[in-house]
Amino acid sequence: MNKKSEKRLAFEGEVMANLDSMYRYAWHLVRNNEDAGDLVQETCARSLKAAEQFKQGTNARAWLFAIMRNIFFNQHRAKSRGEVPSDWTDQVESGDQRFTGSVWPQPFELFLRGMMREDIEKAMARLSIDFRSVVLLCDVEGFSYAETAKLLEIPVGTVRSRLHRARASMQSMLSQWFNEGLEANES
Amino acid sequence: MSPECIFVLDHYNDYISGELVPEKVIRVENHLKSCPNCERFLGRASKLHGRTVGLLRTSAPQALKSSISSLFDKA
Ligand SMILES: [Zn+2]
Repeated sequence: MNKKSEKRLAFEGEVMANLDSMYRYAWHLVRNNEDAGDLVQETCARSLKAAEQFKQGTNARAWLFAIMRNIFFNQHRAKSRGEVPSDWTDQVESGDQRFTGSVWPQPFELFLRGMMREDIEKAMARLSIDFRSVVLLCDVEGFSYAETAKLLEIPVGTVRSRLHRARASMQSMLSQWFNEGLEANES
Repeated sequence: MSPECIFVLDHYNDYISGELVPEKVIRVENHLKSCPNCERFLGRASKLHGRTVGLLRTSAPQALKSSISSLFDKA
């Protein structure tokens, strides 16, 4: 067996270090564990073939995400075309980001502590993929607006406005579910 | 609501994202020192954001990590 080159080992290290992120991005694209696993595997296999092109010191995660996104859109173009943009996102006009304090549900600490991952996943699932992707890339993965714009091939201003609207939509949903829960408990 | 309160409301999302230019960060933070409403608002927005992100930051399944490792070993 040939001894792996240093470059190759460094590349593998980058992939392994980014597996959690890759799985999260895959999951948000395909929305189920099995397909997410397949998409990560396919991305790793594809990236391995391109490993020679990978330059050390570049943003490995952005590079891997771009490969994953290409695979996803090639495989799922037909499916994703049928996706209906979320009513929620459309309802929240960009002006609504001017939240007033009254928007936060009360008691706020109870709202915060009671929030479960399932609630947030449910809210994410109601966003269209365009909005969900921006939340995942900017908020969960910590990509800058500029990095996200480059990856999604959209203007930075679009990243910003989608992120603001997506956050506002999710906050409205989470607030509404919390208030409904309170009412249900009272009655 | 003062113009500075409106400035905070217009910029708090970018503030939370760490995407505000330093001059605007200073303007936001200066206002927070003198406005308890905005301070509470931004504090809550940040907490909600932190909790949401924390809950979404899941790990890949161990089985997947192992199979990628073996993919690399074979290649
Ligand atoms: Zn204020």
